[in-house]
Amino acid sequence: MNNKILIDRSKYLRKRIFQSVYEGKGGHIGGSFSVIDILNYLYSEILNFDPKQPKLDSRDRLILSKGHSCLALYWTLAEFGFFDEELIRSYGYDGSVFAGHPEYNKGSGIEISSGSLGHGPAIGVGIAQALKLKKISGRVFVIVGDGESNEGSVWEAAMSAAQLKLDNFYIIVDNNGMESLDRTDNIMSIEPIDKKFDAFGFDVVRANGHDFEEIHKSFQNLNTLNGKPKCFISDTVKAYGLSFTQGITKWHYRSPNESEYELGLKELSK
Amino acid sequence: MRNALRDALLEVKKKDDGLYLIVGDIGFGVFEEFEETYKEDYLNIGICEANMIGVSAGMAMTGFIPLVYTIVPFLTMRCFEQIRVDIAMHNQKVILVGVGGGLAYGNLGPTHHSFEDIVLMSMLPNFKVFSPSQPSEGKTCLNLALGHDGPSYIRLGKNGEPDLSKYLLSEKDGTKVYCHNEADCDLLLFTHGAITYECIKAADILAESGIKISVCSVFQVKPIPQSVIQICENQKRIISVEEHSTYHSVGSSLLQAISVDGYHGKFKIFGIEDKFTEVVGSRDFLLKYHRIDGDSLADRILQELGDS
Repeated sequence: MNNKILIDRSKYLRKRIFQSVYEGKGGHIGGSFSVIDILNYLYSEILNFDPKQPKLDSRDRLILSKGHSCLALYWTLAEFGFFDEELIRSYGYDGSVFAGHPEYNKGSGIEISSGSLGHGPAIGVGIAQALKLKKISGRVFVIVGDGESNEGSVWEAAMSAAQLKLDNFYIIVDNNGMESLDRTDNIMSIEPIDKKFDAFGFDVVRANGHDFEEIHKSFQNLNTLNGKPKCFISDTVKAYGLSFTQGITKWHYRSPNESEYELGLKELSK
Repeated sequence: MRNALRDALLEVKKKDDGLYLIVGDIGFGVFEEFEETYKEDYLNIGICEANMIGVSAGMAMTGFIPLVYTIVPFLTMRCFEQIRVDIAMHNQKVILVGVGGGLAYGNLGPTHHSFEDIVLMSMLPNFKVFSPSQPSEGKTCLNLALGHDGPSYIRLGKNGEPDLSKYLLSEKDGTKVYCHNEADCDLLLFTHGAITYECIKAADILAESGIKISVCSVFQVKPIPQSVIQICENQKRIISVEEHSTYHSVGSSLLQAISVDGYHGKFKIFGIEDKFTEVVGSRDFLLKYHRIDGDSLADRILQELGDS
């Protein structure tokens, strides 16, 4: 793993996301900035994929269950050659290819339509189970949010994954500590989230989701075929990476004004 | 009907190795043979309907044809949004089979009844919806669902529905006519599902008084077959009889379809009025309570004819 390449790529992707949110006059900047490092890491270091053969049976599947962070997914997929970045340029405009939540048939590499929270894990379990039955080597990575984990369906799917011994199934929790209106702890706390997944039968690791070396070390501990599903708790900060957005509730969904845009672009271009 | 569908499933499974049966901890005494014969392709996923629907969608995305089985309200209502997003929006070939449609689970109480399911499933794009009336139609519907390149919902009654072929006069493109010729009747009953038999009983009762009732039954309710629209658009008097809410029903859609060029006859919808069933009893008892059993239907039809 080359730490510098990953850091530079994340910075570039944050800048692109920031531009889209400004030009498209809206977007979930908070969740996109918290998840972008782990998305970048997965596509850079973990996932087996070929953008020229996006439907290959043996591919690893990445499901962004917290679909509101779609700008992070769109720009990551473009960066890794799934489609031309021009496709994203129309984001936010009438008639755009891409909506404010991903749609499975609108772009190569988008595995499912998401946006209603709590759907990704069960679909992921179904895919992982099918891959097992067909003896295909692909793995399934489902990214959920901490707020999303309020949904009971996340835990139903977690129980199924353990029951079915799906060691090809990974849940990544983008644990940015905030929901739409307040801190997760003030709404419905999910802690201790690592112990919960452990009790549900998962192999669990936990790391700072903005530190690639820590993420990398943790992932090395997960790559075993032991009949247990995997869980990676990615402790993150909402809207991370920009001094005036990170950790601020109002940046869950917001478009920067002109002066904020110039300020942000300058900081992300350093 | 339930056992007929199970037998059809076993037959189909011999040919189609993509079929995968998922049950929501329902089906005691029904699927044991399937489970034993096709252990790899059977899963009792537990009592988690939202999860069950998502898992079935994921399996369909990866090359299986999941058939998902549980009791109607848990299958169609608890997890409606999972069906909408995971199955319908992704246009996945998943076959939902609901058992105990309408009032079939009479004594178990209103949590186990269903009078909303057919319209709910019919509102979802890509879905085909089936409501078989008798055992032989269970097999037909399963085959039609397998032939549809998208999702399906099959609403079953429970078990023990009689074979209705001895009353059958004609059949064309999925529309069956019982009791009296549709071209020469005093009133046509449009129906689907297990309550078709009650319509036949009513027609038989009224036939004794020389009243000619044609019973027109379909097993595919979405899309409504063109064949039944053609029969109905020229009728003077139609009553739609359904084990479903009268507020919105297949009858509502039929009326809409035949009204495109202007329908000038009379049209009524009999079914479960806009309320929960507060009394307890068997299906027969509850059909009588809702005045949609054969005897009550005969009385109500007489009144309709007398009112004109």
